[in-house]
Amino acid sequence: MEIFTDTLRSLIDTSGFAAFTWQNGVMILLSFVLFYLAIVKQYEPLLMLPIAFGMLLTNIPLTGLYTPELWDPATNPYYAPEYIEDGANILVQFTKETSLDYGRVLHDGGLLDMLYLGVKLQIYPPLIFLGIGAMTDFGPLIANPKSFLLGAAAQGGIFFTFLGACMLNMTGIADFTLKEAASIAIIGGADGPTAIYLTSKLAPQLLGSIAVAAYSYMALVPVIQPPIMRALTTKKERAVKMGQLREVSKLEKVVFPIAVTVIVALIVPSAAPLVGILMFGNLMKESGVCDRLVKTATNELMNIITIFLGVTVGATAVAENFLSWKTIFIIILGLIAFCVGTACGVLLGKLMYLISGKKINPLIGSAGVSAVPMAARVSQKEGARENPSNFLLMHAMGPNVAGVIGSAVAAGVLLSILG
Amino acid sequence: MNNALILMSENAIDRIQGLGDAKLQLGDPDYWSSVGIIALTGILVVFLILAILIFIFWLMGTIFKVVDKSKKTRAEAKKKAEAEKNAASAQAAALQTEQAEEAVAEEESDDEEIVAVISAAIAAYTEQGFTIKSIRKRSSARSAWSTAGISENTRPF
Repeated sequence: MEIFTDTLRSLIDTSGFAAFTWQNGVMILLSFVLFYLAIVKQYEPLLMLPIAFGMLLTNIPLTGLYTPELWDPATNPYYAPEYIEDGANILVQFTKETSLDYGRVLHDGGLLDMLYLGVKLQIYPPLIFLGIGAMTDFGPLIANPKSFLLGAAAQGGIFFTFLGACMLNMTGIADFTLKEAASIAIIGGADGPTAIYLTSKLAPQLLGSIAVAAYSYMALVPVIQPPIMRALTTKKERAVKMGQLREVSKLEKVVFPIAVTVIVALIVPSAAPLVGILMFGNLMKESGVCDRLVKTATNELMNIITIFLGVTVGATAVAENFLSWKTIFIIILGLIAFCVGTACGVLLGKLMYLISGKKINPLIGSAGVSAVPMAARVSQKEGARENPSNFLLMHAMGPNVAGVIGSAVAAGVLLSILG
Repeated sequence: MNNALILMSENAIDRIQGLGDAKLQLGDPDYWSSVGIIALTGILVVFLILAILIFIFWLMGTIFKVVDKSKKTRAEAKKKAEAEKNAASAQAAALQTEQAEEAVAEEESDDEEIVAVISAAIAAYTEQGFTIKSIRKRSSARSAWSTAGISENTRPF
């Protein structure tokens, strides 16, 4: 009998209950909320569901799937060897560096630690961009290059929020470093992979909350944008019909990705992993000679990466990082970034409406926040509400895909200054 | 451009970043100017790059339009010339066929069954009075392979 109770006790001691804290409980409940958003509300379910499950797994104690200590240079520092020649002997001196000891990660890490390497080493976001590039038609943008301006204006939300996050420091209720402020601001780019890419480099401790905020707001684009669009435009402006776009030749579509890569990578080299791979995917599609590769990049590869990315990003949401005031500020600041980005796009659209002699519908400006193709669809819907025969979709796709390039460039600029 | 970014980041921004903690960063005298510079360069560089892209693709678009136009005018000129030629040859052909029809009337049509089938088909199609002057086999008949190909391709319709 005693043996039996002893065995039972040791089993209880090694079970999750022994190490369970109230923070774990709160985080698990939060993951249930995300399950609800993903399954019932269908907010970006392809990413939200893996994120929620990663969050659930990582907050059950003692599973060893994800080990936060391995990803902090303070608890897992790298000692760089330095070889000093001393006559016949060679002395080795180890200096502590502010990077991680990846050897220990491979040695001690669990399943999600291994998969997280792809986030930490910046592999997944560019691969997602490969698939996005292979699915995107840049035709509307080539036909109307002015759309680039709207794609740039909508990035205003990013830099406005950067200032906002820094100002929040002044009030004393939050303390964001410059790197953290930049990572929060990039939510305004409305582009999940870009946000994850920048945050994993600048502020990995915020990755979970920033990814959840970014994907939630992207799913909420049809709710967030219309009131701002209606408030900033008049009925007459919204009813403007735009002329048909010119046809774009195949040669132009092939030249486009090559030219964009050369120009962007030369000016902001740190944007090359995102923009370069995005354009690589697009060239595979437009060249028409790599059908098999395009099929893989847009289907199997992208699906695999989405699973890995979602579940590991969710796994970084451990209680000590997530359950803080910072998360609440991130959610508020992210919303501000989205709204200001939308407003900047619409306002520049208004300016272009005036300059073009009332030929450009300002509603297409809001599509400049990436969120392809949701934001363009919102423009179409709002335009059709004023005038049912109004088709803005293709015109809005121009700023929409320009926004993808714009937010990747913005991320590159922030990386080159703060990285 | 990139060098300018690096140069700028070498002084105040790097120093502030080196402080690590957010509270210490806020205490740096250059904090606000650095924050402003980061936000301003950020939005300016984004606009600059996209403006360069606009210029390049506007240029590309104009070049393609000009090339397209010249191609079109050339194609149109060619079409015109061909049309004139066709008109001339059509007149000649019409003359020839008239003569030919007279010559081949009531010739080669010894298989009465085929004549009946063809007349029935034309009658069903036109529903008008008509006379068949001649039925001739086309000289360049389709080979068995191309017939098979056509029937294969048109089957779904």
